[in-house]
Amino acid sequence: MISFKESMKRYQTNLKPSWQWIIGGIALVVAIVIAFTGSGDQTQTLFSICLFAVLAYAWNIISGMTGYISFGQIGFFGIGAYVAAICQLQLNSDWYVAALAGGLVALLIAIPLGVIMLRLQGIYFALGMLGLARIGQLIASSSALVGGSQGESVPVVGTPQATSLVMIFVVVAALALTWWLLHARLGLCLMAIRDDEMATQASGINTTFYKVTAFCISSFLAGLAGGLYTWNIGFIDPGSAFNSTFELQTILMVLIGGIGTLWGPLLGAIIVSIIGQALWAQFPQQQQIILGALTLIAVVWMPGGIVSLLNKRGWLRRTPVWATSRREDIPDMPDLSRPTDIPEVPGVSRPAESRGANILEVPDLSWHLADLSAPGSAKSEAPGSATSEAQQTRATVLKCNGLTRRFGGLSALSNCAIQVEAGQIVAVIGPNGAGKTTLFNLITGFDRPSEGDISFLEHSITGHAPYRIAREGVARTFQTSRPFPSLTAWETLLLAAIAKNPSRSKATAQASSMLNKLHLSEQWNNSPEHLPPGQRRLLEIGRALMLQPRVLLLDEAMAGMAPDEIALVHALLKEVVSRGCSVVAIEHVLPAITPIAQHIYVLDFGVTIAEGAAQEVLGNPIVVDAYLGTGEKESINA
Amino acid sequence: MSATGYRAIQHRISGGMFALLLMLATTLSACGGAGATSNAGPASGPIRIGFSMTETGANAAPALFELQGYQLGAEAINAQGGLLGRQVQLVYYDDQGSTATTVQLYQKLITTDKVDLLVGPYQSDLNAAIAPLVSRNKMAMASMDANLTVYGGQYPYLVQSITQTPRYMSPLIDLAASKGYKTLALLVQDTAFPQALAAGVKAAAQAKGISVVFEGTYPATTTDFSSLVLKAGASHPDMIIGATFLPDSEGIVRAAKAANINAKLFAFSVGPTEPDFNTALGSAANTILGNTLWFPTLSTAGNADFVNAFHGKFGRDPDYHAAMAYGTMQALAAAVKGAGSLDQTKIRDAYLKLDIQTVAGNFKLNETGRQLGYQAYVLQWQGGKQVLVWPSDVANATPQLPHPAW
Amino acid sequence: MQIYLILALTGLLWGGVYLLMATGLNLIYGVMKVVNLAHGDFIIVGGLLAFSLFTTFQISPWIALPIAAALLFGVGMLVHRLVLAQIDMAGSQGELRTLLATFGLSYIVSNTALLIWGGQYESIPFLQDALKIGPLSFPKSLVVCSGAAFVLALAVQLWLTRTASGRLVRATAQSELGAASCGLNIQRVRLFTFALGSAMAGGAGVLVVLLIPMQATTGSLFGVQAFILIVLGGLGNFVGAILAAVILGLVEVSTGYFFGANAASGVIYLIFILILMFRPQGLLGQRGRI
Repeated sequence: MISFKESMKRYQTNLKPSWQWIIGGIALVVAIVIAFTGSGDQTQTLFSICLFAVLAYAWNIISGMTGYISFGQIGFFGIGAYVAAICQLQLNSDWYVAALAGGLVALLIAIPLGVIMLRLQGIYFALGMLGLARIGQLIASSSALVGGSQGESVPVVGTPQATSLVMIFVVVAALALTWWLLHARLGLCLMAIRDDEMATQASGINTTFYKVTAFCISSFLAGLAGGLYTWNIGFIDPGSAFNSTFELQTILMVLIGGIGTLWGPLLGAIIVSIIGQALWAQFPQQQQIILGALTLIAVVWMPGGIVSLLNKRGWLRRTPVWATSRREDIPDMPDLSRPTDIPEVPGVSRPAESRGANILEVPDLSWHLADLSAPGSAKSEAPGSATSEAQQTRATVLKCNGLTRRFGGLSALSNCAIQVEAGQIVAVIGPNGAGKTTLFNLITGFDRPSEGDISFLEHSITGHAPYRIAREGVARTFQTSRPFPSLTAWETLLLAAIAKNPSRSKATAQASSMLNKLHLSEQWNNSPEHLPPGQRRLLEIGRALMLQPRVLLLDEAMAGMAPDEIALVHALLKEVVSRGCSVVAIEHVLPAITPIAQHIYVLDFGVTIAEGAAQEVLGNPIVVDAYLGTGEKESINA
Repeated sequence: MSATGYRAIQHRISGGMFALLLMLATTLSACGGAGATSNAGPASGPIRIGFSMTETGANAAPALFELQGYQLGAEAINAQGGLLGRQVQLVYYDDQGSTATTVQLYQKLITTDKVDLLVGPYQSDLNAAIAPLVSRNKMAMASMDANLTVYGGQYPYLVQSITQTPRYMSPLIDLAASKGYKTLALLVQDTAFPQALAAGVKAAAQAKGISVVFEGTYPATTTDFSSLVLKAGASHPDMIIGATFLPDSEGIVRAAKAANINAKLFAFSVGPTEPDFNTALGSAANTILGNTLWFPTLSTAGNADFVNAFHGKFGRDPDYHAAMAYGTMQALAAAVKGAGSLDQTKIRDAYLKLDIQTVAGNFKLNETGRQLGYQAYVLQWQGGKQVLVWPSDVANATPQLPHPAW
Repeated sequence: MQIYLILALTGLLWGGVYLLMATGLNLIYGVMKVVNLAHGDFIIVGGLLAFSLFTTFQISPWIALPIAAALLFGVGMLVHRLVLAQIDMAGSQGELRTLLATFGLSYIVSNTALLIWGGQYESIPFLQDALKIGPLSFPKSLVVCSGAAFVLALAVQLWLTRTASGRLVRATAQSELGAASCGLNIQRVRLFTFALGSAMAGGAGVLVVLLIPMQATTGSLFGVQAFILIVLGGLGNFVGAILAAVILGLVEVSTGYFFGANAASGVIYLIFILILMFRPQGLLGQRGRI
């Protein structure tokens, strides 16, 4: 197995030459030539293609990269157009001032709108934006400020040459912006939000901030395009400024080109414009129908667009974020003769190399019981391991009091009280539906308790946003694996690293060393979807560990893992526990957790029916009745 | 079928779809390039008149009348020997009712196709959109844009060849005054054209001493007129007049009938002019008044021949759009003859000096290009047919007033 | 005093008209989690079809109603089989892809209607007389539309809760996996539901065209209004939809009377935004669990 550094080196040397930029450059030169030498109507067509390209890029940012499909893009276009018209008419501004003002006002309006609307998901957001665009149109029609519903001419009208040159420039800028986004932490967060917003929050990322930022960037571009449109056409009216056919065409272009990609919007704009012109010349009556049919076809059969088709041949593939990091930032792999780089603890046997007949037998982890069972015992016997104060004093790091969560008449959790000390391993067991995951959701802020409170390191975290809780040091994994399908394993870890370490080199270093630890350094460029389930879960645990948590909440983390993977998990846990982290684990695989847990809580129907050390709990008749069952001489997981 | 198998087919379909689309696009654009100029006739010689027309989209049906009027007008010019010794030829494209497309098309007409003469598109807002462009290129253009906004002198090359909006409903007020009606409830759709109409109505009413006791506006998308009608009826006006389009005029009539709101006179702008008004309302349409800019029975110059020729060529009777378009062609011919050349400035000056009779009436402009000569008329639905009832010298029926109770 | 009574009753009746147009959409969403953006266009097609049948063949709208419903049932089946069934419905991406697909569908339907019927507004002079109740009078067509709406909504509710076939549909709505495990043919249920919802749209169109003139491209307006109604009531909830219809109708009519028609047309969007902000699950809907 090679180190991550070695994998990265191979990747960087194998990167194909960027011919796409050469083709893009040629297209740019051709466009500029047309702008200068073409006839009035050819340059007007060029302007139109560039306008759509900019709109496509704008839509791509919020709907493609962030995953919030909006049907109201045209609203910001209209706002930009109207603001530019007002600036020209009322304030006698120059065209570029007016256009910029259009973009800025759109951005300013987008900030509060984004905060409100981005709380909505899926279709609510899409249709809510549609409603807002309609309202915008109504306001423009009824206000007498700029000609009302009949529209008005604007004084400064650009020639087709000038407007298309400017528009070409804006397209290049939009392309560059998108390129930057796809290679910066902002883009990484957006793509993660698109894939799985909950998991992104659990990785410590403030999703609201990033979403609203993307929304604002998108609105600025659309507004700027609107302002330039006013300059080009020289006339403003609600019907054209808020033209819903523009919306359809923009969406179609991005869908056909490749949603969420770098070249998709541009490709889509060019191709759909050509098709549109051809259709209009040959089948004017049916043009809209055919465009609608193309949308259907694109959605159903070509959801990734042309770029995804090209991707299958290895072209135009997305470079993982920060994959071109300096190799000096990537730490070396330690000596590979040992399977892990965790320092030895005297008196503790390493995980058994050979497997007995019972493959479910968990490696001996009696070191936990030996080292930590006695209260107040220090870990200073372990050479080389960091000793934090929390370990010495055995402070309570997590405390839940009277935690209750009701859904209508049903109590998912009643009066739950949990206490976790530093460096402790606690297990939460019970039948399905007992409220265990609800407990985790409450602790990590994904749900609000109906009663009770949670305190972490002496201060209350009840009601805090999930990303804050994650950053402060309470990390979790999810019951059902929540990978980021469109990101690579490397980026998954990087995401969590960013939450803790703003600096690129530090985050890169941390993510690299975690990859090594998880033995995933060769699969760093794979999507988590393509990893086997055990490795996927390992990645998730790794992601949680990237947050350097004080409390790690594992929700059935070891389900579906092979024995060597379980051993790896235990080794990881051992390392973090030795640094003072506590672990709360929900498990059904009792042999995996009961030997190492110092304290066990048993939940049933939301009520804590038992708690205590392993022996007393597992022998408790109530617990046996509710969960374990009798006749358990054979192993529980047969 | 296994998941992977299905995926494989998906990819094949996607790949095939992509290839198909690419081929389609290439072939169509190859044909498209040729098709767009399909209206270009044989070699140089004819004088080319360029314009865009709303051939597709919601306004295609009435715009078709306008196109046919242009076509018949061009034919008539050619039958009389053409212009300056040359035949004329129409060069037009479909603007789809879209501002951006229209601007692009007029760019094309002026700079690529290099047409000799221009006339305007169907919709008023499209005309306003191309006004700066046409003026910048110093080409004279006569348009059927009833709104006054572009004819204030800021676009000196534009001239108006349709009745101006404020005049539309003044004959109605004349009729009302002649019957001694004194009070008026005005219902106005919140868009440009009705608002301009309403302004004209109020000015005319004031001049005749009729007072507006209620004025209510509503957005174009309104479907329920019950509250509006109730409020209008509360002031017991002699007349209820609506500056409307077709659907709202129907809605108001229905609401008035349902709520039993009666008045001595009901009149609407666009609405009663359309045959569909009667189709939709049936007997409720009777004795409702509307305004029109032209009527087949008018004895304007050459009108009867025009109606016959139109019917012969297109198989249906013309409406006022067609008549106005035909009149535009007549004015164009007169202006070019007056200028004696294709010099646009001379043509524009010739337009301003014209005082001729067309099928639509007397074509005469003021110094900024506004149409002064064209008039409007009042029609009424009687027994399921449209008849012209005012002014009385051109009417072919007497007005049936007051409006009977519902 | 009388004016308030008139406003209240008119509001109630117009609420019924909106309900009529929204019930099909509600059924489709409730079962399939699909928002059919072409719903409004289906309504228009039903109405324009009734218009053609009436003017060309003098067929009464009462007879045109089942014809339009049957035609749109067929169209719905076709759309589902060719388009919706092909879309992978996994997770939120599936919902959005279906939304985009119906977005494209809306353009196809409305422009096809434009080709067939042109751009003119059409209506039918049927049931034009006023229904007089004491001193009050209302258009007969309004009363009929409204009555049909409440009857239909109640009928659907009863069908879903009291009959076996309705239970099948609800089971599919609540848990596809569970229903499939019980041996239900999920695809058939979805196909039937979508077709039924489309048929309801067509039937609604036939009744509404008596009241509101329809034009080929105005479908999206109806669609958006219907969507706002079902969001207000709670997506998939029929009793909620009735409640929402009453509220929307009353609010719109009274706003129109007291504040003018411009305010009335804006108030429905305002309500929509407020609902989305403060109670996205609607009046009677349930907040989703994590």
